[in-house]
Amino acid sequence: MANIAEIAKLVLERTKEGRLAWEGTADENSYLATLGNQSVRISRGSLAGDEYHFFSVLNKDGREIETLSTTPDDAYSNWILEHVYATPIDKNTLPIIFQLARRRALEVDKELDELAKVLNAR
Amino acid sequence: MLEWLRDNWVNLLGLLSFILTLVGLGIAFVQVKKARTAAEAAKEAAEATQEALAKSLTIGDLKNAIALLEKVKSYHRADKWEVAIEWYQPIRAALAEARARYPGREQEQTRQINAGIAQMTVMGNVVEQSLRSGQLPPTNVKVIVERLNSIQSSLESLVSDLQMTQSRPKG
Repeated sequence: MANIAEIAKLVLERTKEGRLAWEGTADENSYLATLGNQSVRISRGSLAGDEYHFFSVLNKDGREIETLSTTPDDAYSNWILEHVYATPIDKNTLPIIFQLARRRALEVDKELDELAKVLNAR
Repeated sequence: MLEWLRDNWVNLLGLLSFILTLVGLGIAFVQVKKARTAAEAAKEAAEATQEALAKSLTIGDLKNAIALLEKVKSYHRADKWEVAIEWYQPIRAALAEARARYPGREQEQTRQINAGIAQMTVMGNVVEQSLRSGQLPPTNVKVIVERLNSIQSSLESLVSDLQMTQSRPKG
């Protein structure tokens, strides 16, 4: 049975491979990728000066059905990972997904290539 | 000749019977083929009608969602956030209707509709949080309108594809 930590790891792999089409959202700290009936969302926020990340799975009706976060006091995420799934997850997984999703959604590489061409032509 | 006939009439009758059987089989074969072709044609016509109806209804659902998106955009542009948010759920419902009816439930097309629903959910959360905290506008209005435009453009492309296949004869 798949769990959200495994899904996060797979999403990271597929994102690294460039096989997920991430899109920006109305929230500039949130990115979405829709695959078939489900979507995954990666978000960044801050709490008391600390940065944290949320990884959520949305069903076909847009309802959030499972969420994982990196906030140290997220008792729910910690509890489900330790007691329900017992799946260790690297604490950098969500921040890396966020950065890669942002780069993909904003087409950072393409933008930089274009800028390099313009600069080289000057 | 008569003598030959008298000696071989049984064989001749057998041969004649065999030829008639072959002709009968041939006629039966042609009739069965005609009946099958007619049944198949009727089945194909029924399927084509169902598909045309599904396309027509899906186009209606998508156009309804597009009209609602236009309405929401105008409310956002006019800073009527409380009114705009009321229309998010009907848009998601119209998209869900379109997805349920989409002819053939094509994977990429339903994925696009699901992406629109997910985008509307995130946008709705942003607007609702801002309404609760009293921080309006919640974010750059331009970003929200851009997202709505992006969903609209994706739906218009689906409508266009459906209309093209609708006017194109099958086969």
